[in-house]
Amino acid sequence: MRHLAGRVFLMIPVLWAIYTVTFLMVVAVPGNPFQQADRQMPEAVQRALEARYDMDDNWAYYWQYLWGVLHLDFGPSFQYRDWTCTQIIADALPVSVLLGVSAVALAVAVGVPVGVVSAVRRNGLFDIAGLTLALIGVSLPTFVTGTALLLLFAVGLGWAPVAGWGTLAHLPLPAVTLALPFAAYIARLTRLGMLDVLAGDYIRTARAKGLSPARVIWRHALKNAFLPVLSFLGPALAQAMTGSFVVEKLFNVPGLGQHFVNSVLNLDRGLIMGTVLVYSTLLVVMNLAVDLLYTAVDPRVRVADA
Amino acid sequence: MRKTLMATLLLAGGVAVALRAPAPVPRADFTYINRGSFNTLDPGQMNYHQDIMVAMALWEGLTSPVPGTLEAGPGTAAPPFEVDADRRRYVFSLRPDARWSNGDPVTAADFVRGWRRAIEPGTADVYSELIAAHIEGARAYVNWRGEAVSVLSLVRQLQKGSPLDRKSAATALRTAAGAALLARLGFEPVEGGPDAAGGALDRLRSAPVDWERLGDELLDEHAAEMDRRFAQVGVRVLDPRTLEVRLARPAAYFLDLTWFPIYYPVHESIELLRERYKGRLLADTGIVAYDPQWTKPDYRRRGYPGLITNGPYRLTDWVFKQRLRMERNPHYWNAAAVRSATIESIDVEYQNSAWMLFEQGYADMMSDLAMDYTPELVRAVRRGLRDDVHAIPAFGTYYYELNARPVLWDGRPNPVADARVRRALALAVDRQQLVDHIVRLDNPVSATLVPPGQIPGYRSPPGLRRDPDRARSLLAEAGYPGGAGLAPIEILYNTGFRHEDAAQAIKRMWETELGVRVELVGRETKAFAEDKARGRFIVARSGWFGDYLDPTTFLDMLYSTNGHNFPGLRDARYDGLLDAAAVEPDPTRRLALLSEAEGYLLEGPAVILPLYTYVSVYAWKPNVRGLTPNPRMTFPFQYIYVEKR
Repeated sequence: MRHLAGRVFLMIPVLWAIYTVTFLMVVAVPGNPFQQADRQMPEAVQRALEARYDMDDNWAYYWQYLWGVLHLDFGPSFQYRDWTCTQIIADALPVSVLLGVSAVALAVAVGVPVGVVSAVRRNGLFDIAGLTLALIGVSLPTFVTGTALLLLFAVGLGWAPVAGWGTLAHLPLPAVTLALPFAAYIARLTRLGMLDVLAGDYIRTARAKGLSPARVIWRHALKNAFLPVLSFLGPALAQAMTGSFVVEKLFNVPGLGQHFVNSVLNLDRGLIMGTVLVYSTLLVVMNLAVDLLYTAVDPRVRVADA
Repeated sequence: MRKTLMATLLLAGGVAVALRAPAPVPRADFTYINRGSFNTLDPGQMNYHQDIMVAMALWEGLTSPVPGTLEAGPGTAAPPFEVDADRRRYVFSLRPDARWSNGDPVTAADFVRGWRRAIEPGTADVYSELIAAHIEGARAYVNWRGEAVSVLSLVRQLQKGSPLDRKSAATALRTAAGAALLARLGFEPVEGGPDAAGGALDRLRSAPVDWERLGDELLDEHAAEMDRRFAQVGVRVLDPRTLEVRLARPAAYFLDLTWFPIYYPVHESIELLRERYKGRLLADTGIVAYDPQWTKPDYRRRGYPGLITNGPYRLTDWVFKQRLRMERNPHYWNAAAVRSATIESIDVEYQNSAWMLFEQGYADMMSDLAMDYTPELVRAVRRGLRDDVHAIPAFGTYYYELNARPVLWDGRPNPVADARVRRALALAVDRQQLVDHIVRLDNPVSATLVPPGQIPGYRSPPGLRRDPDRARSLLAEAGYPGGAGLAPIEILYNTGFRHEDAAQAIKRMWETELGVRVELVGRETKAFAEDKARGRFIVARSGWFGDYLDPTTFLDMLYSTNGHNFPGLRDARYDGLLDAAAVEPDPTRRLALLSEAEGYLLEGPAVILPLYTYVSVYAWKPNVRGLTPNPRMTFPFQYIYVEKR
């Protein structure tokens, strides 16, 4: 319990450091945040606007903005004047989370069984085919797999809408595209873990006890072989939620990734700060969650910790 | 294992909850894919075509554009308009049945509110110039306000103890308002450069002044005088339905401006969202500010009823970077003539996805096709293989700007400072080759800045057409025979959009024809814009689309004091011709003067090297009716409908 409190407490300086570093970069980057959308602004008005947002004094701006962030107020978007950064993020974050979680869930659902079967039928046809597919899945960029899926299922067969968001039918294609590399990686992780575990003494014992092979594999062996997958899930989830820029663009999914990239191109300070902070929080929280889950699943970690 | 399973189940449950399907919205009567997301729906601040198109559906000015020709037709004001003999005073009578989307009558005061908002420091944007330049007294008011804002900002910075930017502080102190401030505190007025002002600043900073109180006093005095000053601006309410407008000088195209968003009325409910400082209607620095969310249909702060507009449509739904939906405004005076009851615009960031959506029938129209295979689509249309893609010559020119300053920003001598060198560069370019091999959209080549043949009555000058021999002799005359001795010429362009391909082609033409050395400098869009605006280039890529059907929308850019005069041209003869045209009452003679000005600009100083006329590529289904293509691709939505088969 004390361990948990310590870990949660540690998040504060980590996030603060991220805030500070991002802030410094945002302020240091050349270019004028008010000169948005081809705006030509008289200097007097620009100074007045800077004063309004405390941007004429970086030190004051740093604290004032931090105070805002603590209240989930990321300030106005200078590029999209009719919106606040908080609104933009609040609209986009659930989309990215849903897409990321679906993709990782799909990746686990496909990757783990494939990995297990590959390990059990080691060097069999399934194993080789699985490994090849996994290699392809890991190495093909999402814009290639995404375009292929799009052309096949949306344009060719007409089973799914081409692009957009809002209904269930919009989810499968981007989720599958995003899931592929994760599924491939999880399959390989599971296979390696299984191979390791299957050679263990306790598996031989279990078999000798007369347990059915299925029970041995799916209950006794997988439980331990799954541990490396579990520790991968944290970064994977964070990565799937944050790294979906290409998939979002390809399928026109209104997620956070596009704002993250565009905000930098537009020098939209509030949106840069907001997206970076949201992403870092996700990463930190996911890693923490997996560590905790790990403790719950693997008694050895608990003992070591105690 | 069981715990893992539980966690997985929880995740799955979360997915199911997040996926709760929203009620499906029926497809709009007309759906189109926007060329980019909307930047703002504030008619006083917008400057992107996609924003302006939607604004034209939501609002209506004194006039509204006639489909196709875009001349000023009947709008909120009913013609005939009363025009004085000197063509500087107009009186507009608003229709008795002109109503806002909540049923309120549209009043003359709503127009004054909209126009004033459009020029006030804080809410003004690029197009405020269209008001400041044309309405009597507007420029003086804007300048007076700007000076006050600069001084008030300085006082507020002193109040907060923020670090001061010497240059802008010095500028502020040298204004009339700045001098008044110094006199009030018993200091000498500031003369000389930033260094002299620095001394004054130091004295100000150490002066025992209660800056907050002083700032508030100054603000009150300024606010008290504001309305008195604004009364000098040439827009006046004669009675609730009558608006008087006085122009700074006669403008042949003034009525065409009145359908433009910057001239729209604004409903009084916006005042609920005006930001106040200690009860005052101005921010502490004197700027005017509103809660920028007033453009949302469902925004309800401080009793605000959501966006109210007076055009053919009202806004019903706007989801950031996803979709925007409009519905016929039942209170619109001409609602019976509005063809489609609902219009939806969908945002698609990725061009290929947008095209696939259009092809699959998810949209009736797609604007500004910019896929890699757009030229092939245009070719397919020409061969009669498809009938849904349209390439329309635009009221816009793609050109290069050549720096006219003798010395470059970094102290190097400017290789194109000699007008003969600039003329030689223009004469050596093969525009047809550029269009045929690089752009490939059948763009008309253009040797003039104003797109030829688009303005009725305007005769384009010949400009500098291809003549490599004359180019070489001009270069030799300038002292660089065969390009010898000439420093490398840099072409600055923004990366992407195939500008690099065009620059490569021009480089090759100049190198082979003239023997000069050419270097390419590609910059990311923001940095490019900044470099260009500050004159940090030798040759820079440019493009300009005209706002109203008059040559001045292009030619004014090169006037000595214009903010878009990036080449830094200071030419008395050119300015003189534009000045003469501005006061010329006879429309034919006026256009002749402008044609002479353009001819001189292109063949004399030659700081502009026109290359080709832009082409807008749009796609719309064959059953779309009432869409009236034109060079500005401005077509009122209320006439568009999809014919049911």
